Amino acid sequence: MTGRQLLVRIGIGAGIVGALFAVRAFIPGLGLTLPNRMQDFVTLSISVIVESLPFVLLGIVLAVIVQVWLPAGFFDRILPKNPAARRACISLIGMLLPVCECGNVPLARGLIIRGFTVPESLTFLLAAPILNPITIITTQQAFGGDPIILVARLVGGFVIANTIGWLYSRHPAPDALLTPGFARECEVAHHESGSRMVRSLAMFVRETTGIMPALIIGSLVAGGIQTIVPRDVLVALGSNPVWSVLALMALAFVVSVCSNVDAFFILSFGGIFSTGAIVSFLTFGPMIDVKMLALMRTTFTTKTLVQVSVLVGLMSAALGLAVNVLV
Amino acid sequence: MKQRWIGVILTLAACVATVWFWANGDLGLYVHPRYFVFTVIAAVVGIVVVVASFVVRVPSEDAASGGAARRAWRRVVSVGVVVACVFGAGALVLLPPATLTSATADQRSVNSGTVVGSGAAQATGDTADYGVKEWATALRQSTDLQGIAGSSATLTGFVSADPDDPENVFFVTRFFVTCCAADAQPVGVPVYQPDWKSSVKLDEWVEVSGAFDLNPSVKSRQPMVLVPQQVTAVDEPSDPYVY
Repeated sequence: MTGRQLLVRIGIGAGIVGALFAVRAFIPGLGLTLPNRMQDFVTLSISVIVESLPFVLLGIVLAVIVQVWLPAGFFDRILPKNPAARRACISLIGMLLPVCECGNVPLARGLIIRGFTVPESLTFLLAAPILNPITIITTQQAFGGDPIILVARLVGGFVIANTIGWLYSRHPAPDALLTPGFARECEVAHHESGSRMVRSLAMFVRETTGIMPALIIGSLVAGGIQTIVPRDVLVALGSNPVWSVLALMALAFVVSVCSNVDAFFILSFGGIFSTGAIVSFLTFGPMIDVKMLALMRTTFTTKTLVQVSVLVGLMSAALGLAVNVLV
Repeated sequence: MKQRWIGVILTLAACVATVWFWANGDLGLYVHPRYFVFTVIAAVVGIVVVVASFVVRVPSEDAASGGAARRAWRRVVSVGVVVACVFGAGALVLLPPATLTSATADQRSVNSGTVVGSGAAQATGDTADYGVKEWATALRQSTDLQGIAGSSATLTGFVSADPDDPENVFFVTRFFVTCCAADAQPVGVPVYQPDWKSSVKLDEWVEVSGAFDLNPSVKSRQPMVLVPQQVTAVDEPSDPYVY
């Protein structure tokens, strides 16, 4: 590509950016207003997109670094050979890369391309949003007076993620858990040539092509459900030790709030719901919610996601109920 | 259209909208101010990287395999994805920024959560600086409502109806935000004003001055209400949420 061609392409990109700014600047002057419910659906959906966007972009950048810039065999050198010990270490990677759950999806994709097995990537994906320093600090700040919540969250997250990893390590063909589209992307990535910078930009584009539509769809679904489902139905179940666990798991699934701050969100319901219900919320929410399922669907088959959701749901509910019995 | 443009356009739409919201003071309608710096830096970096990516050729994937029924199903899914993406990008770039309305306040039930912070204690100290969040919390958690009776307050918020007595009681309402608008919880102070709909409108931003007293309404479940001396329509504040 000649220097002139490069300038033309950069100019086209800059022109599109300028056009989008111009449209954004001009249209609000038209005074378009929507009915309340429709307006709130739009506001909630945009809120989820804007809140998730930096984490998704950070996750994609980390995925690029892992795949293109880290030396081949890097993880094999530093991780144990024993599969269980290896998954246990992988579930602690979030302590070094605190990206939040939506950013972990592109990072997990990068790790698979880099040689992680599917069960290992699932272990990382489920554990990292909980076992990371920001989540630990915010949970401690929110529930410092009730240490059982922080301990149960960390231990529960570790056990659930490693149990899922162990279960899928027994799968006869783990690669069948991946979507055909992502499997093809892995093939393309393995045969890519060119400088590291060119490969990095190409991978960035491929990841945004996979992740951004999922983020938009997940945000629209989360916004839509929040607009439709009345929250007082869930709150009314708060006093029952069993129903409160299920109600807060349902709330976690719907709200799709970031794991880094979900402790502050649920703190405001602390006087209404049982301790076990809060533990279930803090364990289930970072692993499975509407937005996460849309993002994970870029990588894993629907069947796999249904299985993982049910398993995580059952284990989170069991954890919450156990806390309710013991506390 | 090549597939690569879907991710590029969506990323640019989201990043440009984010920077634009911030530049116009509207980013607070969507995320907590503590995330402004991180969000805007990420959006600017996103724009730069996407523009830089225009110089590379991205290898296209092989065509999807499978039978006719599977290909038809994929086509249906693809159309659905494109429609959702166009709607999402359109909402980001075309629709005017807006705060949450009384519809969400009703749907999430005003004061259904317990806001933690100032006002969580008994409202017996200096309440001069109390806003909607602090008074709502004090009214909910105080065990000495008689002690609150007679206290005066001036509060600003939007109007949402008390579902138990929508003719005579409305809430001066704000949304309490932890992270983003998706987790916003409505908090409100009940105001007793018979036939309030004749003077103020649902969703209208008002400043209410008055004193607290026991609720004369027989239908409302709010034990204590603000009895207004003055209700004035005001502009929506630049930061409509409370934290």
